[in-house]
Amino acid sequence: MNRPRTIIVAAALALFAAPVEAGDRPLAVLFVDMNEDSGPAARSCTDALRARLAGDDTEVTRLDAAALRRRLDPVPAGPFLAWPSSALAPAKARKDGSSFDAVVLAECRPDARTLDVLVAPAAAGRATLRLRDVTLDRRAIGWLGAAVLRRAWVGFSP
Amino acid sequence: MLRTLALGLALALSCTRGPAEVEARPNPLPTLAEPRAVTSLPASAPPQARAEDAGPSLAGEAAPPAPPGTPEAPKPEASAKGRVRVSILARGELLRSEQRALDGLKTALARRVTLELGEATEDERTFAVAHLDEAAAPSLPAAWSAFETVIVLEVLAPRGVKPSRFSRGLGGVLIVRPPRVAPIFVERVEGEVGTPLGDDTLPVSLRDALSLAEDPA
Repeated sequence: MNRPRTIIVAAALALFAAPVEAGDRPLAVLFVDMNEDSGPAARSCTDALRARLAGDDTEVTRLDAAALRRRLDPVPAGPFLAWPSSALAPAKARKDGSSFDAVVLAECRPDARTLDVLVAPAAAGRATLRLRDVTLDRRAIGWLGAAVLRRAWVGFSP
Repeated sequence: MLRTLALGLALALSCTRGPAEVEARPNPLPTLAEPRAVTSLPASAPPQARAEDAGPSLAGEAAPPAPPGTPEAPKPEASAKGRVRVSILARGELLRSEQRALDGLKTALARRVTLELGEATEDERTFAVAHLDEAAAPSLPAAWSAFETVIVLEVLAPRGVKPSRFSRGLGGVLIVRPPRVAPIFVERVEGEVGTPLGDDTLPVSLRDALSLAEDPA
């Protein structure tokens, strides 16, 4: 193969091998820190979980519990782990008219060794994840974050 | 001619990239069900795990005898160290595709841990369903005293009717560290949020779960 042909083939390959495809976009996640009146350890824990969810394929927006409650009408009764996914629908709307693909609510209490998460993905339904009596170190939070992401992706359509 | 060659090469390259991209993100699409369902899990684990599978039925099984020299009331975990049971709680008939995925999961896990994987026994079902349905939980199945960690995987009932059934994938997950009765991890799902049983990240996740550090009160 002569040189011009090699260049043309290489150009064609580069075109088709481009990592970004038309219509591709990251998973938009609304992460709500449900720790209220909590100390720095709890905040650090939820921050670590949020950081775990963020990545090349995800775009995470943080919200605190009070701001979430203002968006919900009415605010569901009972602990947030019992909230139906339909109640979180108003929180999925974004100011630019688009929607979050998934809403993740998390409450971390290192003193009690508990970490509770509710995931409402694009699919109809929800998942709740609860860690109990486990040292909430980086490894545990990273592990839980991977489990949260598996549910958050369900029903995603770019 | 030149254009055809370039397109051909590019197409071949893009085809080789496809699976990696699919694996990078969990695919929520259901799997087409096979017309024949398999209800038993074949023993395909390495010799070490298979030897354990050959023991008596799990239901009502007592903990193995304590090694000589241990105190009179040995803690169950003394002999259970490093042993893992993965119990499959099938909410419906397992599809052949689900069976294959579970076989793959067993193979992947058995490379690193002393593993026993099988369908949930009656008392395992009772325990797991109580936790996943948030009912009053019974005591631990007696056989679990022989394991350091027990993982219960709920396989959701398939959608559709024969011969066009679709897998709804992995539902809830329980992780129990006997003799502690309360699970250290409970994942419950409602609606259509099952994840593919063949998800490549699942074996890694379950393996990593074994190293979670318990921190009792």
